[in-house]
Amino acid sequence: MTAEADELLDVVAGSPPTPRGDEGGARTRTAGFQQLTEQLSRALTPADIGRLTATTAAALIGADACAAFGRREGADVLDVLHSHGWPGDAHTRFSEVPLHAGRPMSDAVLTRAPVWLEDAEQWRTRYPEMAPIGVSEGHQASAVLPLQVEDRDLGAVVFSFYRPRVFDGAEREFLVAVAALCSQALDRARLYAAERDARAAAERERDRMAFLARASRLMEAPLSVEERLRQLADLAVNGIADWSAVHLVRGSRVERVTVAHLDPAKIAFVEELERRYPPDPDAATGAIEVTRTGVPVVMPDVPDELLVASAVDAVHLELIRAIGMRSAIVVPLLVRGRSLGALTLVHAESGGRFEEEDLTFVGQLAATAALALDNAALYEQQRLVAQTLQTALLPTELPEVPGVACAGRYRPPSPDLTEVYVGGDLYDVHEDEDRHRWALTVADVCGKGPQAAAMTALIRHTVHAEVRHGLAPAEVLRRVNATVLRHHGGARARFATMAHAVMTVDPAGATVTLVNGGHPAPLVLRGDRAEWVELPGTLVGVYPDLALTEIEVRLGPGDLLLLYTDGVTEARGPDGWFGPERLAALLSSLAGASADVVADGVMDAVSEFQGGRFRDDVALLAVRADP
Amino acid sequence: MSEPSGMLRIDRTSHADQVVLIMHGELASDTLPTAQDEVTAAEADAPPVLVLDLAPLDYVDSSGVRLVLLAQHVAEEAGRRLAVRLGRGHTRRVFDMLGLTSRLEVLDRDDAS
Repeated sequence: MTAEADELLDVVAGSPPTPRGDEGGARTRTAGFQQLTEQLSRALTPADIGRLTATTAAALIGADACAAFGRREGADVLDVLHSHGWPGDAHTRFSEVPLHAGRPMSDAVLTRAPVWLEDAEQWRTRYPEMAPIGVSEGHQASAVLPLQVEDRDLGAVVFSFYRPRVFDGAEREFLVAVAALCSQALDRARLYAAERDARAAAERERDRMAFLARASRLMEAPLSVEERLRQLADLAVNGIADWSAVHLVRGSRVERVTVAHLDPAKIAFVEELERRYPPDPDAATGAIEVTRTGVPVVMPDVPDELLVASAVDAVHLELIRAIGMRSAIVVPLLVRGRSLGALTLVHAESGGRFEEEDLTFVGQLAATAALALDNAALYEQQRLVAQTLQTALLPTELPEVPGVACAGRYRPPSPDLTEVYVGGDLYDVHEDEDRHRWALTVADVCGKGPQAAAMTALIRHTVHAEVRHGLAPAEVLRRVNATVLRHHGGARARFATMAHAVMTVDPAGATVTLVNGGHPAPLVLRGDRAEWVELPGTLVGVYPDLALTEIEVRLGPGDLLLLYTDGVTEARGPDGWFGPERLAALLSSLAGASADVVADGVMDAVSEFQGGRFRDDVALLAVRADP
Repeated sequence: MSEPSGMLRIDRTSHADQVVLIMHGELASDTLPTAQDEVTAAEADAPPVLVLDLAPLDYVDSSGVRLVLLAQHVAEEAGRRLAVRLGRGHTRRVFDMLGLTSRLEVLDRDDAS
């Protein structure tokens, strides 16, 4: 029992004889007061305390009817917490009482002092306007006490009696003590409720922050846009909403890309529903409208009229109703002021409600999704550019060379980058149709990215054009050098190394005329013997004059020529550099293998040597005279 | 001397008519910014001869080669000299392969060691 309650108990125990005037009455009151104190101490909610006040406390006082009212902080209305003993519909008529000076309860609250009305006459004299109500149904006396603790106004309690009653000093003290006890309990319950609400809000906030963090991580995952949005929708139905959906602008239409619910049967139901009744793309409601306007919509309650309005026919309406939407929130996915779609969250069977204040959180969630969408759009764009460039850099398929098998391979530095990386390595085989010759090229442009790619493309197309003019390999390289210098100026920002050859095929093999512009030495595999073709030459794109030497290499049946970029020999792994010796040994071990097998074998060995992590990009071209 | 960046350390010595940058470790795309800063700083002093001593390097890739070519270009434009030391190891092989040994002033071209 609290100290305040002890003090109050003193008042009760020390009070002079009750109207019934006997010691037993005082003892009964003291015991009743203790009991009320105990019961109130166990009550948790304002409603419970209102009920105890209107029943137990009223009985203790000997009141015939009682109503306890609460006042929300700062409100000018009193709400009934509990009423008891009133005839007829009084309890519904007075469920809400506006504060209005000149009426007994309002006066008690506003003056912070009890109003004592000992009989019907006092009612009629002091509150003529309210008397018909105050003394209706045979009521005579009323004690109206404010419920207050310190400076906090918590409400008021009305005790009413069928008989006139003299509220003398002791009686007043007793009633004030009972009201004080109720006030304290109410104050405590309110603090408890406030604390509980604050804790719930903090927990919800914490959950939401955790949720947003998970959503953010999801948006950074290496997934396609649709997969990310689908996983976001799935995430949302774990604790945020019963249903979620994402719509995106697709051309001139707004399409739903995903819908999520924990129960797959319900998703199937909605999908079937939309198959039977395709959504109107011009609908002025829901996700489509929010996407168009960029203005969010919160529906704490989804009105049935809305369902009726959007239903095509009675069956449709029945099906929509079956989804059981209760509350919904739809927010646009805004990227730099443009609306790209909408996120819809719906509460159904859980009975949850979305309110205006949820807009902040759901808006944050939508912003996360929109940002990812923007990033993804950029990624898509980059991927498209990379693919376009890569297509320009590498042949999709090498031409068929009668009597010779050619195999080309390219690997970017990281397999993750396969789609977006634009390398500076190239391999190619061009046909000089007029002369029945074939040009072989492997080149490596210093640097990476679009500028390196542009130079790679320039080299490829220059080679292609010059080969058709029937130029010798050294002359082709000089033309390429001149073209690169012309395009890139004398600043030496970019250079390239190239191995280039012209090949003629005859029934007994092929003859290859090679030139090397600063490129790693080509290898020839004859049987199981790997030979280096040591051939000095100047790199391309730096000096106006190139020192080049042409060399003729004969490929007998089954002999193989390997051209490669330095991504092969300069591959680095736990065992150091891959190096030329290892490459030569590897090639020897591949004696008799086809061009494809050799190309794959070299690429696999280089990959394995580096634990699958390519430090540089690798291009290679294997050419083998048919055995 | 510069702070070690990645796997590259650069010692700088100045003589009457030349600045020497001695590079140790690896000169590749990840260590290039440090080397570029040192070279740019040395060029700002406009020494008659700038020597890039690449002999102690364990590794040099095309970005390191580019650094040398750019420095050569700057020196030629300014009427100064750029010289290199390549040693007999990996660095020398790289410059040989690229056909650059004959295009640069290689101070240790004929050294036996």
